[in-house]
Amino acid sequence: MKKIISLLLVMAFAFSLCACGKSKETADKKVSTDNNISSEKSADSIDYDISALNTTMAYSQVIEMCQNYQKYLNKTVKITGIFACDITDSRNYYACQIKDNTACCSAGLEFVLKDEKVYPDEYPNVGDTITVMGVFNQYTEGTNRYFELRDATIIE
Amino acid sequence: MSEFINKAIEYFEYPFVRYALIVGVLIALCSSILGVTLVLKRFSFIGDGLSHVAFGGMAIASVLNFTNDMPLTLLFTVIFAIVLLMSGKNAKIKGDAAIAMVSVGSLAIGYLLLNIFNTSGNLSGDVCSTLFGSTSILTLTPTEVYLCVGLSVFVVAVFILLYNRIFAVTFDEDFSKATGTNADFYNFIIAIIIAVIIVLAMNLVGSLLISALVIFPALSAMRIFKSFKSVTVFSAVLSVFCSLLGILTAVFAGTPVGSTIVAVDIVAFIICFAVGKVFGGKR
Amino acid sequence: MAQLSCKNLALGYDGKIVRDNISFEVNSGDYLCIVGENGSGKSTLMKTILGLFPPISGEIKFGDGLKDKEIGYLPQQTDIQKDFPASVNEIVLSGCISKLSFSPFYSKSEKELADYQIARLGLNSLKNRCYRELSGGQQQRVLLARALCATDKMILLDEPVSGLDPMITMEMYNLIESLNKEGTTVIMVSHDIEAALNYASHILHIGDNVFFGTKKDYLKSEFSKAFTKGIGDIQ
Repeated sequence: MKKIISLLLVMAFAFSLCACGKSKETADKKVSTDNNISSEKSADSIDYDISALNTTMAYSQVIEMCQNYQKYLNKTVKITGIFACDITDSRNYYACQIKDNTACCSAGLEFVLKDEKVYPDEYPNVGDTITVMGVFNQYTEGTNRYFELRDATIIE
Repeated sequence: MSEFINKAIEYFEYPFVRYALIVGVLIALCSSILGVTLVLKRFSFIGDGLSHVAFGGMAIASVLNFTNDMPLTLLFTVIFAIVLLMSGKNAKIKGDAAIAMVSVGSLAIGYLLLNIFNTSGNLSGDVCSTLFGSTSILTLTPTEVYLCVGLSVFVVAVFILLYNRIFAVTFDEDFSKATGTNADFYNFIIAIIIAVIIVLAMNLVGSLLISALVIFPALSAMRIFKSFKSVTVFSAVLSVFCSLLGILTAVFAGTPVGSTIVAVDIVAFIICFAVGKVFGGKR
Repeated sequence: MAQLSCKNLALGYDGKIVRDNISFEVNSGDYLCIVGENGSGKSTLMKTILGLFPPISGEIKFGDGLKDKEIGYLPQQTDIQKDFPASVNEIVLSGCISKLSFSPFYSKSEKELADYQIARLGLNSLKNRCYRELSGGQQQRVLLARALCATDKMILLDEPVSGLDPMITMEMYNLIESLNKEGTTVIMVSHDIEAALNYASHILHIGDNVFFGTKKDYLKSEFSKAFTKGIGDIQ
C-alpha cells in the first residue's frame, strides 16, 4: 500500500510541474507581429508557419525540411530569424538563420526576394531579426544541394 | 488545459516530435534498467567515461570522413566498455582512475583531432551538440529511429532473458563463479549493452549528461523500493516518464532537450528521496 | 571415497606461491576447520577449492557424488552487498543460479527449494524484507540459506562470524552444527580457534608447516600447543 501511495505522489507532483511548463511557454520570445499560434493554413495561405514556433521547434523544423525536402517543395513558408548575408564575386546570398538553444549551431534558409532590391540600402542590417515569407525551393551548385525561399518578401 | 491538449496534438503532427518521443522513451528505458546494475557495482561514472570515448570515436570517424559515424563509434565504445568493466578487482589501475584516464583522454584527443583535421564547417557546433545533445533528438532521420528501435528491443530482450544471472553476478560475483556461473561472460554482455546504450543516448542528452540518465532513476528507485525487481521496474517507469516530460517541456517551452530531461530527473529524485524518508522507516 | 581430496596443492596467484605442500581429505559429514595466522593462505585455499583461482600445482579431486561446482559458498560480505536493495527471497533464490541451465527463469521447484531453506534457517518472517535493513547476523543467515540452495552436500564458510556479537556468534555456530548433524559437510575458515576446537571434527592448520588430522590429533600435536596457549584445557 505504501508503495502505491509513493508512486501516486511522485506522479502527482510531476504532473503538477506540467502546469508550470505551460506558463513558461507563453513567455516565448516572438518578434513576429503575426501572432499566428495555430499554423497550417491562414489568410495569407502560408503552408508552414515556422515563425510561430519556439526556438527548439523552429530549428528542428528547418533541419527536417532540408532532410525531407520533397515534401516541402513549392510550399509557402514563413520563418523568423536573424538576417545574415554572404557577399561573393558572383552573387550575394541572403539568409534567415535560427540558432538552436545552446546557440552553438544554427539552421537557416536562404531567400531570394521577389522584388529586386539593392544591398545594403534596401536590406535589413546583418544581425537584425526579420520575418521572411517565400516558396520553398531547392537548387544544386556543383555537387551540393541548397535550399532557398524564392519569391520572398520580408514582412518585418 | 484544452488549449494545452490542442497544442500537444498539433505538435504531434510534426514527424520529428514523434520520432523524438519514441527514441527518447526507448533510450530512457534501456539506460535506466542497466543503471541499477551499474550503480550497485559502483560504476556510476561509466556513462560519462564511455560517452567521452564515444566522442573520441566520432571524432576519428569524422576525420576519416565516414558518412555514418555510428559503426566506428559503437566499436570504439564497446572495446573500452569491455576493458573498463572487466578489469575487475585485479586491475593495476582501479575502476574510477581507469575510467577517468580513458574518459578525459578520449575527449582531449577527439577534440584535438577534430581541430587539426577540420573537415566540418562548424567545429564548435558539432562538439557542442555532441556534448550537450542540443537538438539532435529532434533532428533524427527515420533510419536512425529504426536503428534505435532495433537496438532497444535487443537490449531489453537480453536484459529480461539474463535478468536472474545479471542479478546474481551483480550481488555476488564470487559466489556466482563458485557455483558454476560464467560471471565473466555476463560481465562481457553487460559491457556491450552499456556501450550500445551510451552511443544511442548521446543523441538524446549528449555526452556530458548521459550519466544522469543512467544513475538518477536508479537512485530514485532505491530510495523507495526494497526488492531488486521493484527497483528495476520503478527505475524504468520513472525514467520513461521523466524523459517524456522533459522532451515535451523542451518542445513547448523552447528549452534544450538534454538539460530539461536531466532537470526533471533531478526533481524526481528529490521527490523520491523525500518520500523514502517519510515512509521509509528504519534503513 | 572422499568428497574432496587435495594432494600436494601449491596455492597462489599471479605466479607467486603463497603456500605449498597442502594435502587433506574431506569425507561426507565431516566438519573441517581451516585455521592459521593472518596471511597464511586460508582464504586463498578456499578460493582455489572453489575454482576462483587455479592451483599452481597439485591436485583437487571431488568424489562421492559431489560435483566440482556443487559446493555452497558463504563468502565474506563486501560493502556493496551490505547496502544492496534486494529482498531476502531474491537473494536466497539466487543461490539456485547454477541450476538454471538454459532457462531464463527459476522453476517452481527452485522457488520451493528457496522457501525450504528460508524456513529451515528461521528466516520466514524476514522473507520480503530488504536485505540492507537486516542486522549482521540476519544477513549471514540469509547468505547461508543461499549457500544451501546451491547444494546442501557441502558448504564452505569464510569467516562466517566475523563482525558478529557474541550472542549471534553462538547462534551461528549452533546453526552450522545442526546443519552438519543433518548431513551437510562443513568446511570453515576461521580465526576463532576456540570455536574450531569446539565444533570441528578435523583441523587443517596452515602455517610454515601444514597439519591435517582429527581434532584429537591436533590437540596432541606441536601446532596446537603454540596456538592454543592460554585457552586452557579443551577435550
